[in-house]
Amino acid sequence: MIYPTASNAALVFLKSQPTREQFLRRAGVRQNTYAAELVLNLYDDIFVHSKNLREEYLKYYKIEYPKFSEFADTFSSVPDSVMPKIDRYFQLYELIIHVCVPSYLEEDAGAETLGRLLRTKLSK
Amino acid sequence: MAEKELIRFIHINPIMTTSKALDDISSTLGRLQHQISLENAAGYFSKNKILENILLPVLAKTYDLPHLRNANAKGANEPYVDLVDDLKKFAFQITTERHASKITDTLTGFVASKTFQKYSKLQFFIFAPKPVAFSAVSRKKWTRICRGKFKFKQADDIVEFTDLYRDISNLSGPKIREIRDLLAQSVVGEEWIDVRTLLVGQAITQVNREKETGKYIPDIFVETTSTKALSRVFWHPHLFFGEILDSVTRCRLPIWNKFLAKCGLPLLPVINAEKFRSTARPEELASAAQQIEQELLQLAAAAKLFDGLNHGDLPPCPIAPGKRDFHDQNAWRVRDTARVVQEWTEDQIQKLHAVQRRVFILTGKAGQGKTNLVCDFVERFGVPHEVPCAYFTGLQLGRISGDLGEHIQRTLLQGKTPTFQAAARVLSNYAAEKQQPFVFVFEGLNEHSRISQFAGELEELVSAALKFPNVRFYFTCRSEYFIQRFGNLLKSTFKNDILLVEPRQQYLGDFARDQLLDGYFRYFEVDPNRVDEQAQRFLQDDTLLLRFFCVAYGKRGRPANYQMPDIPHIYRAQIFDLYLNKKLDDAADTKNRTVQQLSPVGSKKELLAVIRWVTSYMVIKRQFSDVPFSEVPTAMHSDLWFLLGEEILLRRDPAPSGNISLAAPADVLNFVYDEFRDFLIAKYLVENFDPMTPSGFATFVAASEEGTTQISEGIKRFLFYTSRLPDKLEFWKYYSQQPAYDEVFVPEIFFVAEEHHNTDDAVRVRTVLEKANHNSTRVAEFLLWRGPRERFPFLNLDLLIDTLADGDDDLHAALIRNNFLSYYQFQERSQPAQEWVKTFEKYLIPCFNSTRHEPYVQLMTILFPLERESDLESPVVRLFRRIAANFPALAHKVLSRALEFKFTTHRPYVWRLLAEQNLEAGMIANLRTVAEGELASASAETATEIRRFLLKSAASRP
Repeated sequence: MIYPTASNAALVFLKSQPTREQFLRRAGVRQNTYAAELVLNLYDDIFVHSKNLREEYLKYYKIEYPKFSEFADTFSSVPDSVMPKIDRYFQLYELIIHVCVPSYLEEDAGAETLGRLLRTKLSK
Repeated sequence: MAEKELIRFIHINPIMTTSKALDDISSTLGRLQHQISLENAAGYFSKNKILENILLPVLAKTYDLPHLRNANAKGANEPYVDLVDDLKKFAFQITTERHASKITDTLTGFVASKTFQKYSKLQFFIFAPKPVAFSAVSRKKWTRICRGKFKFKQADDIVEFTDLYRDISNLSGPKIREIRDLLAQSVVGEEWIDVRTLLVGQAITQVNREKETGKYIPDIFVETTSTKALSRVFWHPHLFFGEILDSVTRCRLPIWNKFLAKCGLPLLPVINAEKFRSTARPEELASAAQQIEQELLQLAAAAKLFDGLNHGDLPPCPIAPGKRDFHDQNAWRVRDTARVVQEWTEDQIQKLHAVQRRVFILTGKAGQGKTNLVCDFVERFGVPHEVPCAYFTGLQLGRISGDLGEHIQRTLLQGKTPTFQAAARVLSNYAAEKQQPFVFVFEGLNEHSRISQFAGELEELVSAALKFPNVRFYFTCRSEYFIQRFGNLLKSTFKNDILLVEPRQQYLGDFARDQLLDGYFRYFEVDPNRVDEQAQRFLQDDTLLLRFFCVAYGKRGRPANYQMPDIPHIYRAQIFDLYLNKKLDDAADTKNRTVQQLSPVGSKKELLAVIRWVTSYMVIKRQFSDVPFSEVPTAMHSDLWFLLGEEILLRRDPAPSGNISLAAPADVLNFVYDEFRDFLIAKYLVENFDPMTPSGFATFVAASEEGTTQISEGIKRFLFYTSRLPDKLEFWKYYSQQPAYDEVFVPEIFFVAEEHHNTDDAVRVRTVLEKANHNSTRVAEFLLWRGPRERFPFLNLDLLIDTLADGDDDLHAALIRNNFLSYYQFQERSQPAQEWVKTFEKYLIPCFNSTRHEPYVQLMTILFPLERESDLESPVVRLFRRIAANFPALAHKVLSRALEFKFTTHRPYVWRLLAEQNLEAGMIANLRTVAEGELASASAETATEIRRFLLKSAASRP
């Protein structure tokens, strides 16, 4: 599930993290090409350089904020439509990533591509 | 050393003689022995398990074995021995058993396992209540076991309690005292105090007390994320150091470097944070934090090379061959990347300081929420994380008469330690076991009643406690007091251990400001629908006033039938007046509950009389602080105590140094808030003003002009407000002619009740505007945000528009373009025009009325050039087009009027927009005449737009 939060940002809910190879395959690009470099940059943006809020919560904030929703509300801009569901999502998804989306993915077509790469749905 | 200082010094450091230390050691060892024998007799052996650890430092000191360690500690496995010194090849077996078989078995195992090859000396320490005696048969057996392997002599190698005491008494005095302290710490009860329960109870009790008194208002905490993040690291460095490492590991440095490589620029140094993951001990944490900080500083320095480069500038280093084109096309990104890297490193370094430093000082304005932050933090973070902490307030500490350290150790550990230092050591050790610091919270340092004395005591206390590695201090203090009253801390021996977190309010984002306001309103039951939007905005910027406002108007603590009035504007003097009344009511209630004989009215009058007396003393003596307590008439003393009770209006301070006399302490009185004092003095001056003989007042003001009296800006402000009240017309006539009146006219005129404005104000404001200076800009800003004439009869948006319409380009530039922009940049709102458009869209579009809101649309024509984009586009131009599409007649009207304005910067926009409109024939004819007349003298850009208009209008002519 992908929820846009603010301009250039989204909250991504995933059950597992794809490997780099899977990510390239989903993108339909060959290794060691310019396209692969772009796709892997995106992969790093999402899975290396972005915060996994779930992991961060469990490691550092679980004691301070008994509910994930309280933590998420303080540390991330969660869309109003997601707030009622976020504690349930916390049980369902391994990865809850607050990701800065490159501007080329902000458009509809780009957002759809992102959804395909992550094998998840885009919520508006 | 002064007598008083000497007494305090001796109190903190009671003299410990060697003989007293030996007595203590003897009784401590005896006590331990007794406890163990009792426990063993009852079948409990808990103390046996910790005996090795208790004796370890004592034996190490006594027998000079600095590397003595517990062989049975986690991870180690040394059979047959308990304590070992690997360097001196020395081993101890500690036992409470008195049987020979224990020694026989140990020696047999020691030899069989060849442990003697590692330790050439084995001693038994028998901690038994009675002396032991072994048979000759046993002794022979031992000699046989050890023969040819290592030397073992019963006389030397079986040590008993009496032997240990004898050996200790043969040591030097300082060593004896050290051993005494060690035993005092580990045996005399401290180890068996339930430190955890005591401390958690103490802190939570304090939090609850703050809640009861209304100082802690849950939900009113301005979550300046960075302050709270730093606090987390400071309170739990072991846990949150990991988060810093995560952040460093996650950083986008590889991506930035990939980009810099493409630009042909040197790469930024990479930081390997992972190598610090296993860091555990506090001293290792600090050292690791320091190393990462150094690496981050290098990273920031490398990034700084590229910061500030403008488009077309060459970087101060060579660009790799073949990369120049890519660099030139992306130079702006290099600069942006450099800035991002530097900001990120600054944040991380600040957090690393919170790991390393041990005194956290949070300063902030009154009412900003420092108490809330501390209470919230203790309640939601410290206690759940089981961070050992103790919470004191400056106000409470001001009420203790004895020594500060003594009070703290008695409060926390029930006097079971002899000194504060001993308590600090116990607490530090307790914290070490938990791999956390021990945090002493002192909230509201400035609320202590004897600040100057307290500042010195505090320095001494912190200095003593920081000798113990796990002790930390978390202080809060009002910013205006901190440097002046507690500046000594910044020059102390621990100055490098201080993390000073400066006021954050001016940097608060809109969200945090909203939260602050909502929190106060909710708690004090202020109905936000009754407070004008602009008034709310003003309150967000002044938290002290916000609190006074909430006390003055909120429903909390008032009768059920209280109806809050509508508040269209913030009138500071009125709020202060209401606040004074409310606080006098509260004090009168307390007095009546206590005395039970006076009517509330009578009480309030008497309390007010005390306030008046203090104020009059200040005015008559020209002394605005430190009113001698002894000067207050005795008849007023009982009422004075009620006012001092909660220290809401008045506080009692010690006399400034120089007046201190041990025989007769000379306390003084001060108002709690300086601003409140200014209000009362101004009120007093005006009430006593005689229009027939204004000489008394004139003398007072003249003295201030000559510099003989320090009349504060605050008094001038409140004199100004008071002069504007309708019943103070005579005073206004006099005071408005004084220079002091003009000094504060801007901006105070905008905080005077609307109904008290007059035509004189409009004239003065226009004069100020026309001066095109800093004050003019402030006035322009005020007028800009005010409504039209219909709502604000004198000082309104129309006045700004009219003044600008008659002014030239310089005035326009001064008032609107340059300073208007810079003013908002100062507020960290770099896009003021966009802000204004957003506000317009939010509040006016839904209810737009072409007549009522015409001045706003006229204002747009003045704001067109703000945040100009390419091709005469700007946020305000776009908004105007939307209005014009729905209200063409209004658009035509304001554009036509805009052509009458004397300044010219807006003209190309106006002509462009006129060209876009479908104008009526008559209007076209008129405008064409104007256009043709202007063409010759117009700037190139305006001329282009005029030609465009002429072309377009020619085509659309009938």
